[in-house]
Amino acid sequence: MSTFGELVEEVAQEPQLGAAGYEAGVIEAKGPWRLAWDRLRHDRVAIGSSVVIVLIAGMAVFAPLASALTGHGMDAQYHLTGLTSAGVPVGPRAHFPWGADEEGRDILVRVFYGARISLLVGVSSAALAVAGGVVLGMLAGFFGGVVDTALARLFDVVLAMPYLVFALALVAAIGGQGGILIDIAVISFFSFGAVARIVRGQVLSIKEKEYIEAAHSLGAGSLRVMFIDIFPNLLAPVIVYFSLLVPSSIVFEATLAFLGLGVPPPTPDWGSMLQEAINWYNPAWWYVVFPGGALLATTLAFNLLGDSVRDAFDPRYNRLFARETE
Amino acid sequence: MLLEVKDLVVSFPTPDGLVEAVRGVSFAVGAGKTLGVVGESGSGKSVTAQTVIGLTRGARVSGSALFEGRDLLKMSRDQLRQVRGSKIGVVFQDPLSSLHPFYKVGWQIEEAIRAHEKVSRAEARRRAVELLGLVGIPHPARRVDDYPHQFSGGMRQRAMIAIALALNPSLVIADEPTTALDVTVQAQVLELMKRLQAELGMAIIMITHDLGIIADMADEVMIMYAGKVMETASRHDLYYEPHHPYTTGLLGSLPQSGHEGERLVPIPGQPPSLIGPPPGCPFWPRCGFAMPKCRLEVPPLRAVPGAPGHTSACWLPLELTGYSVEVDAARHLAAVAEGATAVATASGAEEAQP
Amino acid sequence: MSQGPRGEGPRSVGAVGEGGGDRPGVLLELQGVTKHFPVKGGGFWRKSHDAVHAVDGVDLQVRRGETLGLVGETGSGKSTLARCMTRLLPLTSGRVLLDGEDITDLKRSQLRPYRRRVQMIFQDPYGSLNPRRRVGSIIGDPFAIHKVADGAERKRRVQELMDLVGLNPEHYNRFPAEFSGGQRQRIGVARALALRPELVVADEPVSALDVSVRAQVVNLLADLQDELGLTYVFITHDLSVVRHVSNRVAVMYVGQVVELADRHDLYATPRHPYTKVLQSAIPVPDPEQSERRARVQASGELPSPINPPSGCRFHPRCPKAQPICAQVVPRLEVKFQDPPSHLAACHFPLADGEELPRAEAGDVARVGPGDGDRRAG
Repeated sequence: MSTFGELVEEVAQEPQLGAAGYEAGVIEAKGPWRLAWDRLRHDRVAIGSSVVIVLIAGMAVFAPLASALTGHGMDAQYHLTGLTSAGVPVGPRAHFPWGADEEGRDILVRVFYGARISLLVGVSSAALAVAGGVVLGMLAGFFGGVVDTALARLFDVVLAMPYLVFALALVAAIGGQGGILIDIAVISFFSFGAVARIVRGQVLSIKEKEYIEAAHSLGAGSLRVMFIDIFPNLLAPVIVYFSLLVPSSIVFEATLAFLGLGVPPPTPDWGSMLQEAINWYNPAWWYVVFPGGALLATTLAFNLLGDSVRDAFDPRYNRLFARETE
Repeated sequence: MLLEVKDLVVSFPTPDGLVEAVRGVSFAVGAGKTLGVVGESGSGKSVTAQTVIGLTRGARVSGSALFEGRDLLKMSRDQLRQVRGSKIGVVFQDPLSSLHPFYKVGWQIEEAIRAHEKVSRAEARRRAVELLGLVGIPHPARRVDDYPHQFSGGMRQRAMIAIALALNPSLVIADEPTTALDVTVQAQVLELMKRLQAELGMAIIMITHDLGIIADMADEVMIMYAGKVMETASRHDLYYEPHHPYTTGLLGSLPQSGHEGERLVPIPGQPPSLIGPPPGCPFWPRCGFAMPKCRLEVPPLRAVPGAPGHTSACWLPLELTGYSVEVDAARHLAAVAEGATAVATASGAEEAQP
Repeated sequence: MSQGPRGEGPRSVGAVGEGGGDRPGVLLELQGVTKHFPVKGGGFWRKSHDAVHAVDGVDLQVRRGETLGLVGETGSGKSTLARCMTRLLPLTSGRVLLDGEDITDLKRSQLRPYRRRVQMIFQDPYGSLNPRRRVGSIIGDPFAIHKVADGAERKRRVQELMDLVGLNPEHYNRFPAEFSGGQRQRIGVARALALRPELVVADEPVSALDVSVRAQVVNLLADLQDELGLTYVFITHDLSVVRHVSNRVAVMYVGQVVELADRHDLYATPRHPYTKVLQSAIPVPDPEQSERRARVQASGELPSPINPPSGCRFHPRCPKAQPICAQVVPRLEVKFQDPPSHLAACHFPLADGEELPRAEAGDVARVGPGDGDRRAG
């Protein structure tokens, strides 16, 4: 994830403090990014969920390898080996570690390939929603007045829309011809409002800070104040929100696919696999468990990581201690 | 003694290290007396008081705090709650956040009374009105039904004092009670506290950073720095015969009438971090009189001869007082300009006036 | 003392009346400056017509090279006045003249050249520095905004500034959180001085600092004034600090200047009862003096600036108030045989050595019509 790359870069630039800080009369402290990174590094939940995310990403990247190892194509149908003579999918066994589906396709291979769609759609729609939300939220919060009123109403309208109804209508209109781009567009459209609202609120409070007044008193223009002074303070909440938006986008994508809006059928997708599994879960539990488990693991890992990142930026003990010493 | 605190140690474990907020503090408050606790940010003065009344969370605490013969630090939460409010009243800095915004002021006072005494609501209300009158709220019978936001800042602090006094406590702990108030209102509130003490006879622990308030209010004064007691003395001795260089430094930093436009004499450098504070005397990196011994050994509180109750945690000879920073002013100023800390020497000791 | 950047040198030390100011020696002039803020609310459908009278008709002159102290309590309008002087806020009415040039109606882009000449130091050493930016970049802001220097040149000049204010230039890459309160205030000072301003408006620059560190920053400001020939407007609620640093002091009460005098005159012979009350309210760090002195107190608390009292705004709290005080606004003028520099706005000014009637214990508690929070609520 690129945002974490930036974070790491920030940390790398951090100067190391001398051991004898108190001798020089310096209160030993670290920069905000460094502090967050240090906390994250020591957070077991963050490490665990990062490992899971890396594993899922590995599944996506190495899906062709899984295909090669099992000898099963992504959507090849193995009616002889994958189905019993009665036409029922076979359960987990040596040839089909996670079993087969009703067409005799290898679920393991399909779950691996499905990770590609989930991650791609999840990450890119979250990124798009965050980008749009930050830009619009900043404009609304910074300029206020008519701009704010108009944009804030737009956010409200987007948030008030019943997205499931909208999605069903969309399925009815273009069902079956959807594609990954439509997925991303729909998901980010329904997600950016929440981001924009949060960013707007942040900007409104940052705008009142003395350092913003200081920038104005130095003669800084609007663009400079927005990007040099306000934006860096939005990064922490935006990173947190991004990491929480990824899992909800993945779920959203699965929902759309479940409803029939998404990548066209032969391409494996966790959501559409679950949909197809509906009729088969009774004999073929593996048909539900593995795609569902992958979806659950991914979203859980992203959510937990998001929580950890938030705690790292704004830990409770820090606030507590600030009050004690003030 | 009404309250006797011995060897109080309070630390907060944080992922960044153990914050040693209070490091072995002992003091005593006599009935009806006022103890002034002075210190800058991070001196541990507020943590000390909050720990005594059981309001520090997530802290490691050791030591003892005997209040009327019982150790507050060994009490259960319920026992502490009984003592707090009935025997010990507390007044905090920010009256707005101490009063609940959704309940009427009078109701909050009634609750404070009824939490400790079995009295009827009518009786509690009668006493609430009486208390509001006592702390100088005009038309108390009417304003008892006001919400906190309808009170001005000074009146809120008066209401807090009314709650603190509701059950006629023998001790009131006031943590920066006037810091959030304007000076003219502060003067009113301080005057009120003095009047109430004369009328009701409770002891007060007055925690503040303002040496002016202490000069006005305290009988005994305790100076804290980096979680330790630097000096204790009677009000007179503290201002006119201070021993510890930190105390003289603090007094010297204040602008004084008759010396307008002259340079102030600041203490150079910054207070130490409470995570891994320096060994030895915590003040030595900023002290103009520091000797090699100061870096290595923590000076204990030693009695200053001829002055009962006057103790100083300093290795300098106790026979001399008033280690004026001014003798070393030139060197300090140079040090400040360089952003460095004064180098430790013992040279200043001889120059100090007795 | 440290060597500062010598590139430009102080622009106009002692250059009295330079730039065509119509009065010699006056750097900044305020004429009838008024600032009202509309009160939000008043219901969903109709707008409220109330306004906070933050500053009401202030006339002041700031002379080149002096330190003008501005003292007042909450709601006195001192911080708003500072923001009117620096034109961070638009005025409701009145004029602001910098060196004789009217800057009252200039737009933000037109103001930019004046921003270099007038700078501010802010109160909160934690709030006035962007926590997510490095100190070098914060102090270098003025150079970047005014395109004065960049790259290595900017870094060199920032480090010179850090040295000038007593910071270690090697800490260029640190974040504000890595500095203590006093050091942070030095950062704010360095930023304000980067472009060699003529006038520095300091809004409570030491109020948030601990005693020992406060003295360091007060000294630093004094040294920089000597070295760079700065003019200060020093705003504070702390009368003992303002007495220490200022040449002249203006006392403000609810949006108006009630007394203006040279430091010595103000403390020796205060004319306005509010000045006297303010003086006696300050705790003195000297037990004997504290016991000796007569404590006069104003009854009640500060009135609301939304609906300030009629006539003299201090009259509801004033021990000397007469009926006329509630009706006629007193003019700021010379009283008795005072020098022309000593002005007071009072119908019944205090004579030399006159004491105010000491407030009775019960009286102290009387919250008169001055208790404004109720009306504000």
